[in-house]
Amino acid sequence: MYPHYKTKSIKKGVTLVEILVASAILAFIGGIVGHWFFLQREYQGRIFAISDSQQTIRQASWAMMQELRTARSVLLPRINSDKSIRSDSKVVFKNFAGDIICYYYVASTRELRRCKVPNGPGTPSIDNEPVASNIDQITFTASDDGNRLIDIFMEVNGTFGLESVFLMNE
Amino acid sequence: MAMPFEDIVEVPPPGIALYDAPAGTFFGPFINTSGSSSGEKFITQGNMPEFYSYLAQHDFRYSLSVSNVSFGDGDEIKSVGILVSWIENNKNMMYRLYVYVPSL
Amino acid sequence: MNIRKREDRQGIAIVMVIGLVAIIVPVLYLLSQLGTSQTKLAFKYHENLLTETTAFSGSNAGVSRLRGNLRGYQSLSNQLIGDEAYSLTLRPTGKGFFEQDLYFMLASSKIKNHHYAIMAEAEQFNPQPSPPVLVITRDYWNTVEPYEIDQAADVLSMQNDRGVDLLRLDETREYEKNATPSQYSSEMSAKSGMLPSELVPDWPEIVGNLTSEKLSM
Repeated sequence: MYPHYKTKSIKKGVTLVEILVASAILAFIGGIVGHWFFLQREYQGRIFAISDSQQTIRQASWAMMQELRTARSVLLPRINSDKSIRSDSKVVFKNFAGDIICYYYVASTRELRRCKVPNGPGTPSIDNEPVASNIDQITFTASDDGNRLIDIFMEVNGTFGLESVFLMNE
Repeated sequence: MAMPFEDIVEVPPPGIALYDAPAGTFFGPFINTSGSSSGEKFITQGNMPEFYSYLAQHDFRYSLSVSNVSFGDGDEIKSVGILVSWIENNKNMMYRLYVYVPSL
Repeated sequence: MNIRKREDRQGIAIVMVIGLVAIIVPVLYLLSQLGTSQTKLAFKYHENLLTETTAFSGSNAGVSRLRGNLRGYQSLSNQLIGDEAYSLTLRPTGKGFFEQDLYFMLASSKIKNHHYAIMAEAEQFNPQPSPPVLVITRDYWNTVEPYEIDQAADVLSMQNDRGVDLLRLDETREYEKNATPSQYSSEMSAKSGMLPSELVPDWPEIVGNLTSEKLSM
């Protein structure tokens, strides 16, 4: 009696054409959203990378400054004989207790490491953990003839750190 | 560079740029890996391109605010405000630090 | 015919809804991530900048006053850096190690939930000149967590820490004084083989500096 409705009532689900049309629209929206998604992830990653780099610089310079501030004299680098400034990738100084401390850059592993040499009998010891990792460059510069002022310049992933330390003790 | 007491003088804002800093300022010369003054390097585009563009992009500058207190007989104290300014996300930023420097 | 069209659109709608939900969920997740992380960073940076500026300036001012052998030495008062207040207190702790007087200076500031306490240790050697001359100042600070120096245990551990350093200083000084320049130089030069390779080329220069500045009797 109602053949039209009978046939139709059997049909369930979606046709290929319907899926194709929907997929095309979704692909278009998905493309735009996906691109935006990618850009935002990249931006977020960049912010975290900068934050991490700043943290690395802070921690490294703080560790060194604590020890340098109470140190007695800087042994290396020292200003040149013509009184010009002198830079090096390591700093060696006599610490508060009179022992010799070295902070040095290891280019192959991009690490900053610390080594302690007893002022007297005893063997040098290198700290197990590096002071900082992922350092692109570090420069210690001596600029005063009393060997008590050291500038520290550090680069981590395009982020830069500048510090100066004045040694308090004689 | 270590600065003699008498050389600590007012540097009014906007101050001295950290990049291309002239000789005798806080950051000029900046490094020297050689054994004489001929190897001194300033923060210029040619010497340190990445660091230079970072400083120039944010226009990092420093200025000094100095006031003297005298106790007589050459005994003085300078109150020094170190102001570091830069531009970030179109905003003017500043970091202040105050120190007292005795002449003795 | 109309029903057929409606059913066509129904199919598209179902697939679209499923597809959009599949896209929107990760987008919402990303947005929430971006929102929280950036806001947190911005707040943290702002607050840290404020508190650090205040606290570091405060301690610097205090340490400078100590080093500057200040008149009105004992009466360090609370001060302002910009709009933010910080407090300075000085505590003489009596006789210390090796006949030194120990002083502790405490500078502190608080903004919101960040509390900075900066401690400087100042020592004077006897006999005291008049006015006294400060020979050592040393800072301590930690961020975020308050540092309660009022607690006796902290003061004691600090004194012990300094005591160990001073005992070692006595040893190194004695060694330098008792060794002849050539003994001292050869002892230090012999360590070259045990040093990290980065230090080896500069070691002779370092030993030269050490020897020329060696303490003598």
